[in-house]
Amino acid sequence: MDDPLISQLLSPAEHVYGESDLVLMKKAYINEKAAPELLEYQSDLLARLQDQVHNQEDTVANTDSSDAEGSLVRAIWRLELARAKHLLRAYLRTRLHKLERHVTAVLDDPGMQAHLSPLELQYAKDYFIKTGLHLKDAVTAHLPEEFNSLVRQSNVSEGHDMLSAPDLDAHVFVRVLEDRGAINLDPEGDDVVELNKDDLYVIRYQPIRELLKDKWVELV
Amino acid sequence: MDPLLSPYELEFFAEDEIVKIVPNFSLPTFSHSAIKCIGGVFGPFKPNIPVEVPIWLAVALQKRNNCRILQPEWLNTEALQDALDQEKNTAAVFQRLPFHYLEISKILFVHAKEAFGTDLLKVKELVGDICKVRLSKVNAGLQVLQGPMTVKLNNLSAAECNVIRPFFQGALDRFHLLASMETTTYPGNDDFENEDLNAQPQRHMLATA
Repeated sequence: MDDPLISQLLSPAEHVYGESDLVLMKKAYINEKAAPELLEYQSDLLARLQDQVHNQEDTVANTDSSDAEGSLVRAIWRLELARAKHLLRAYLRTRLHKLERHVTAVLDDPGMQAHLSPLELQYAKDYFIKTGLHLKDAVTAHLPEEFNSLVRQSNVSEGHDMLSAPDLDAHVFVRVLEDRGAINLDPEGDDVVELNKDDLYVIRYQPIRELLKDKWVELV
Repeated sequence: MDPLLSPYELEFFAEDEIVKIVPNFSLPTFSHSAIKCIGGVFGPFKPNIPVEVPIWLAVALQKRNNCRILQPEWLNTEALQDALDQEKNTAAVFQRLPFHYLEISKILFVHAKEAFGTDLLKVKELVGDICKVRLSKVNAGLQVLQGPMTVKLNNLSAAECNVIRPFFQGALDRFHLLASMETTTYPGNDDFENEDLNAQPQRHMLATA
């Protein structure tokens, strides 16, 4: 098989119909699902896609379905709407799940808080207060005073040392989108990996964190 | 929640890939006889004129008897036989196949049996064989995993990544952790450091591992 044909087969949806917001949303969802930490909230993309969904819903409502043609097109629109909404829900739920798991670490770090939407931030605060009150009631109230903090191991701890932080050293599956050349995997720089387009690696998350943000790579 | 993508999710993603269909209808009241969707303008639909659409649309149309799905070029017996031979002949690399080749085949084997005609069984068998050869390569690769490293898996497909994810991630995460214990000391473990008897065997074990 010749190469141009195959490379077209590898991502044909984008080749034929362009990078729609649905395609971008799918990528954002997969990145979010595979990354150990909460990624930046895709506010523009979500706003655009939600707009398109609302518009399409209006179109469906205003289309006459009495003839065969209208009912066929309406059925297809409905199907695509269901797919788009499923994707939106999956993305938001994945984020909420990660937020719940790392809530103390997220609230402790303004940089991480900046990755949340206003609603997510509100949710995080409410969630922390409610689970925190419950934990205090059920567990820490019965512990000696020097060990009853929810975010510190003991009174002598410097700072918050009992946060459920995401493990940035976790390994992820990553595909290279553009030739990037060699990158250093650790600060001393004796472990170098060459990143060329279409390469697929299992690699530690930390060294490719910035590359993911700048769209050099995507997670799979 | 499972951190993996489920097989259902992978199928959902694969449904965005493109197949060729032959529609048996047109849409005279819609511009260009096409359907304007969120993901793009699909069509034009004209009777007996082949057109490329996403699989979800193809399957929906086929269920309503509005089209016939065509067998993809990479999914016929010759192309697959070629791919299988190549796959067997090259021990160290994976052949380039569509990223969702397993999911697409599965969907088409269920919803577009007619597209394969009398080749259906043969095509199914070839896809299964290719998958087996590839997975055995992966398993061979897993056996040589030792120590923290970055693993290159070019051309591995979505479903294959998903299958090996727990093994690779688990093993590599643990190797990395052990390697970093070798070089760094842990905060709060100072007293541990001072006890030579305890610290010594631990280092030793890691050096020989």
